Amino acid sequence: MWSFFHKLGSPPWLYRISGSILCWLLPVSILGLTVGAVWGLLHTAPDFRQGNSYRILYVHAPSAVVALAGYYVMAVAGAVHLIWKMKLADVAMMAAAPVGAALTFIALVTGAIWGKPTWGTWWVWDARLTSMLILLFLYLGVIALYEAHDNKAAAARACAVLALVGTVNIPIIYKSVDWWYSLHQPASIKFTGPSTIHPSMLYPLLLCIVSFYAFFVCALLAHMRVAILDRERRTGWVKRLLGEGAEA
Amino acid sequence: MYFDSVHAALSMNGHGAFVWSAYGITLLVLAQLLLWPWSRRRRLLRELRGEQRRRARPSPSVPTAPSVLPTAPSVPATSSVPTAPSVPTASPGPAAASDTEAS
Repeated sequence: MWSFFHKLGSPPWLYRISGSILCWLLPVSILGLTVGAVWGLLHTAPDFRQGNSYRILYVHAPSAVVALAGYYVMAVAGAVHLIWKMKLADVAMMAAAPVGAALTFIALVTGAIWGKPTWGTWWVWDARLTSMLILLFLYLGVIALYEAHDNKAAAARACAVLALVGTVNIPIIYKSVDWWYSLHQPASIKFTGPSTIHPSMLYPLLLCIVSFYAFFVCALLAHMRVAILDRERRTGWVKRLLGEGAEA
Repeated sequence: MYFDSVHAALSMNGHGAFVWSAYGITLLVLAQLLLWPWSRRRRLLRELRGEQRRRARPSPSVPTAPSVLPTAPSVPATSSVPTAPSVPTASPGPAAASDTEAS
């Protein structure tokens, strides 16, 4: 167990293992996304109230779910960096920020596009939408804070604190549709109790969510690999890697 | 397949523009998420390889610090290893000194 954590903090080990994970996980996630998108776009019946516009669900809901999961990854990595000073925890934190920001952006934009035909408006200052916008600003804030500092060790500590403070937004996003009157519909998939979505719509949605998770892991690892290589450029293992003529 | 024709799939009863643009934006952003680290890693590897090549055959006009560094630690290392054991072993006798040299 401890040796695993020890390895997790080893840049050459993580660089190598993430490369082999990407080799199979990336094709799997792209295949899953393609199948899920085609399934949702062309092979499901339209919603009886929203018509065909509901098909945006298959990219909107997964990106929103994984954007929230990405924030957990960023905040937990930040906490690990602050408390245990584990090597590479700050790399994971800073890799999660752009990926999470991109997914939040997708959730917001596809939500706006879905809102136009369904609610008659692109945007409302409603609890769910506003808290999601704050999530985007938190992600961008972490990136901007890191870029603003020349001392990267201090920057990573400041970012970790910001990420942890921002965690307060996460339960607000989850509960916003229950706590306030909202145009946004409540969750259709429930872990407790029956889901309020037809199985023919549920299966492609679940496939999309799983594929988005897999894609998140891939994008996170890809960003981490670049950061590891950049940080470790003066070390022996990177020099050996270059000497081996490693895959470019 | 739910739709009867390609046209029906594209128009989606008037919702096509919304649905397809949402999927298109998603595709663009996701592709960007992979392309960005991929291109940065390629650029970084090229830059580091160039640096390594320059260090491997340093030009005589520019005696840079890295070209000195690999040789500098090796000089005291090689000189100190044979002398350090030879100093205490030299005092007991020539036989002990020759033993350590052989080993």
